[in-house]
Amino acid sequence: MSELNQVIHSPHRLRICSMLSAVGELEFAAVRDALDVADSVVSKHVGALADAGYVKIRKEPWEGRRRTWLSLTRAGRAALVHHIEALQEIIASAQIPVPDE
Amino acid sequence: MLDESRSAARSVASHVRLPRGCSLTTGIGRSLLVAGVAAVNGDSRWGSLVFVIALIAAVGLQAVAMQRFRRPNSAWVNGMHRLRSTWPVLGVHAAVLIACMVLAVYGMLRSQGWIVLLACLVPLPVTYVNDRWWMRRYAAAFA
Repeated sequence: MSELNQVIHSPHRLRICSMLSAVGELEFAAVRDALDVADSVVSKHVGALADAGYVKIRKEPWEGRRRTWLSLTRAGRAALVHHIEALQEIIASAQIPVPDE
Repeated sequence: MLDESRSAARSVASHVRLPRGCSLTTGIGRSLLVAGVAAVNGDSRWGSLVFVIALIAAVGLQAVAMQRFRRPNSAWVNGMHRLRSTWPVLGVHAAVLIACMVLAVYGMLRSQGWIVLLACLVPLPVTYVNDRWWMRRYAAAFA
């Protein structure tokens, strides 16, 4: 049975990983707008994911500004898949008792 | 949580569009590359120089196309592991490009200008169609 990944388990981190799984690379601002949170909140979660080796951060100069691009690493993709499998297993094994009438 | 995960991926994928002129830019680069290969085999004196210029132009146009894609989308789409369509698409692009190069060289060796011209133009519609096919598959995967 797959185990829940404690790094990805946070709702914001799961959403970040899911968003990144849909593309090769995604801009930091797009993640922030999708989550509707402050830059610092995204930075904190992305930092945790990067420390775990799940997210790669790349900075690029663009029209005089530095833009940050995020991508899911191979390890991050595998961790996300295992985490989702674990969630699915929990849901599948959940037995909800139906009271007799 | 699973629904949130799915909707997060879907929300990103649903905003990805193929910008106008992106396929044309890539296609022109590939056409120039085919013309460069033909030039190498047609003109022993300047052919190599023409090829190098065509190669630089093709790489430059590819970079421009990538920027054209990335700016409006705030995303770059490649290496879609779950779609398993990256390699077939790249394979089609490579096969068509190689076939065009062979055709262009054949036309050049036979001094048939129309064959060379045809070989140089083929990458344009192929790139256009291939890009749109891939985008349709991409959109369908997250629908």
